[in-house]
Amino acid sequence: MSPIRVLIVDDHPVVRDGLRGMLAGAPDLEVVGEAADGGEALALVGSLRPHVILMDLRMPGMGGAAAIRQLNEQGTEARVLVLTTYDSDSDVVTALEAGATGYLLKDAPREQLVGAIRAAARHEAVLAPSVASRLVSHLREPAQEALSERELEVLTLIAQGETNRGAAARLFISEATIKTHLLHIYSKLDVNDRAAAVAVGYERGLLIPHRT
Amino acid sequence: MEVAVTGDVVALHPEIDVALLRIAQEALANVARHAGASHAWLTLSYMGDVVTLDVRDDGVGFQVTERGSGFGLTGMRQRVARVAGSLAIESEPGGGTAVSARVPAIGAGTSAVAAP
Repeated sequence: MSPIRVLIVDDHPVVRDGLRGMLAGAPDLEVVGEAADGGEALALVGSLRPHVILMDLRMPGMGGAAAIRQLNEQGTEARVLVLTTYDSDSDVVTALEAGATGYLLKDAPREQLVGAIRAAARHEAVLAPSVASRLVSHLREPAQEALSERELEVLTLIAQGETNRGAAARLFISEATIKTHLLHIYSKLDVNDRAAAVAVGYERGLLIPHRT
Repeated sequence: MEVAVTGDVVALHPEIDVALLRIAQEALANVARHAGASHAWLTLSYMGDVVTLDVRDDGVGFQVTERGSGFGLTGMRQRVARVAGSLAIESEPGGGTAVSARVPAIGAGTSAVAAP
């Protein structure tokens, strides 16, 4: 079987080298070329006929999203996997709307990168719930997760009747951070307010009723 | 100055690291220049999805106004905004000051794959 032809598009030579290195161990993948921006990539696609394009989004000159859009308009066969340093939600949406097949962070482990390229080359939906989960990750918190030591300290102070301001002063931090700790505590204990958090804290034995 | 780190420390994205470092420098410089404080506390709180950096002092404090653009606060705000974070200033005359930067804990090990 002929190898999957891969084109790497990134403005940083060191990133291109790194990706090339990561793919070198996969016998079924062949890096057929590199481009430093979207324009260069478009120019190369015709002659190199890549199956999969690893595309950075933020590049000087033509960026990734614009290049993906043009590729699709040209009816290219190549599938585009977006690679970027770190994702903002708008980046993900823009890239997917432009026609990208998948979305990877540059620090994705090698197996994940290789797996995604193979899946994209098979014209398969790259089955990874990670992006979806990433997009909504701020909405959900791990259920039934143990409180951290600091969260326990905060909950204990709250149980003692401290206000946010008082707890902040006791721990030498800001009220803003106390509030953030509380939100995490609420989420982990599946409650909505401090009274319920304290109640669940006692219920689960996280808080010890103190004797006087 | 006392420094504390709480939570499970994770390696952060360099941009996040740099933003936190600059905020810490700026906030501590403010304490030294304006606060007349006898103590300062720097706390880095790792909370899974977010990291906060607090610099608190027991100095003279100031009236936080809506505009509150003095002391390089605007610059700090912009810096955290660039990494999708936020900045809170808590102070009152005589009551010390706390500067709190809250940033997403985007780590070196985060990764994702997806289909449209």
